[in-house]
Order: sequence, then C-alpha cells, then structure tokens
Amino acid sequence: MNKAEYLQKLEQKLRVLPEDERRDALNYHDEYISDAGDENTAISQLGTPGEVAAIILAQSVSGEKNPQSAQNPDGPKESAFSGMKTAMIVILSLFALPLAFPVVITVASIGFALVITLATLVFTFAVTGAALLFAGAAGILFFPFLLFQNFGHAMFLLGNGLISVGLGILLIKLTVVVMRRGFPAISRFVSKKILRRVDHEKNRLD
Amino acid sequence: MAIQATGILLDGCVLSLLAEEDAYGYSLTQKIKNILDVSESTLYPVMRRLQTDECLTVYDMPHNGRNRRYYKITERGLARRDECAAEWIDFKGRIDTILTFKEDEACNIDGGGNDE
Repeated sequence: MNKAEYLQKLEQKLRVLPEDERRDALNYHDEYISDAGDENTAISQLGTPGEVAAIILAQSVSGEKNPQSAQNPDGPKESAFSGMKTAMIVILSLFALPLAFPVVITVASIGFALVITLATLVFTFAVTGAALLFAGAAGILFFPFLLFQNFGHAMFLLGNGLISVGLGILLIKLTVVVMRRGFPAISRFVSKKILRRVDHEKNRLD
Repeated sequence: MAIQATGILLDGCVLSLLAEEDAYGYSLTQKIKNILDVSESTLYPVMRRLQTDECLTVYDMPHNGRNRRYYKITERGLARRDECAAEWIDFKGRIDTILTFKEDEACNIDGGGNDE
C-alpha cells in the first residue's frame, strides 16, 4: 500500500467526520508519512487505516481523554487485541445507525422466506400424505375383488395399501408437528433478532 | 516499560516538549517515542484535542514544495503543562508512600520530560 492508497482508505473510514476534521486528519497523516522519509516503514508503524481511524473516531466521539485503546501493533498481544476491539466497536456503531433499519428489513425478509418455505413443505407433506392415504385405502378396498382371481396380485395390493396408509398417517402427523413447532420457532427467531437489534440501538443511544 | 503514559501524562509530555520549541507532527512523535513507549497513531488525537482546548496553535511552513504544520504552545498550554506536572508530582508522591524501593537510586530512573 502506498501513501495515496493509505490516505484514500483512511478518508473512507473517516467519512462520518465533519469535512474540516477529516481534512485535518488526512493532512496530518499525509505530512507524517512524507516527513518519515520511508513511506512503507511509516505506514506499517502507523497501523492500518482502520486502526488509525478508530483512534481518531473514538477521540472525536468521546471528545475528551484519549482512549489508550489502540496501541502499538508491535506491543503486547492484549493491547493489539483491544485496539482491534475498539476498531470493531467503533466501526459497528458507525454502521449501526444507517444500517439498523435495513437490518430489521433483512431479518423480516428472512423470516418471511422461512415461513413460505415451511408452508410449502407442510403443503407438500399434507398432499403426499393424503395421496398415500387415498391410494392405500383404495388398495385395501379393492383387494377382496382380486383375491379369487389372482391371489398373489391381491396380496401385493393389500400390502401396498397398508404401507401407503401407514406412510400417509405418519406424514400427516409430521405435518401437524411441523406446523405446531415450526411457525412459532420462526416468529421467535425473527422477533429475537429484531429485539436484539433494537436493544443494541437503544444502548448505543443511551 | 509496563506503565503507559496516557491522558494527562501524555498531554503534559507533549506540552513540555512544545514549550522548548515548536515542532511538526513527525518530529514530535519521534521525540516522544525516543523516551516513551507510545504508538505512532496515538499522538494525532492528542494534538487535535490540545488544539481544540486552545493549548496550542498551528501554523504552516513551506518545506520541499509542500506545507509542514507546526505546533506552537499557547499561554493556556503552558498553564496546562504546569497543571499536568503538578498532578504527576502529586500522584508520584502518593505512589511513593505506598511503594517502597529497596534502593534509593531506583527513584531517579523515571524518564525526563517534566524537568521543571
């Protein structure tokens, strides 16, 4: 990454800042890298644009004491971790505001898709179950007529009929279970996701 | 160095260095880094905050066909520097009353930066 790319990335990460603050930060880092002489060393010492942006944003948001969160990447492991963590928190909180609504819509859409899928499944099970029941019943009904013409054939028909009826009953039972459990599970899933997002949003604003 | 210079301590160090002479971002960072274990990216927010608090002002000087932004300490900055130093001496004294050193000279190893 050269200086231009680095600064461009930094600018992207800082776009939530007011124009003059962003300009100031970019000028500072532009100068800093130029003054350092060796672009690559300076860039690697500064840390990724994300890390630099996180520190600036955290400072800009809190407006007071600088959070000693993002530390030297060459430093102890935990400080690097806490730097990453801060970066993540800041980035997430930045994204939360414009994204909260779309996220809710996305979750609701996923819920809707799940409902449709489940309904299709239930319908398929029910229809197959009914068809099997019907076919089985027909087999059982007609087997006595065949009994004296072709014993083997008749027995085959009876067996088939019983199996079909059994499978049909199983499928219809399964349909009932899926309906009873599946739909409430979907609604729980969707409401939980949405509530969590709303909660998160509330905590952020508090 | 296990103890990090943060917040008020870092403010004090930056202001003390600027009280000696005006400096630009890179040179100031290097000066601090020579003594303290701070990351390159920590200093910008500090400068920005001190600037907002009117502890320092900036001016640009042409250098190699571009501008270099110098930081200059203000009266308010000098006062803040003294406050920071006083806070540090108070804190240092409190810690010293609890932490006892085996050797007296161990007290004299703390780095420079607040020599006034």
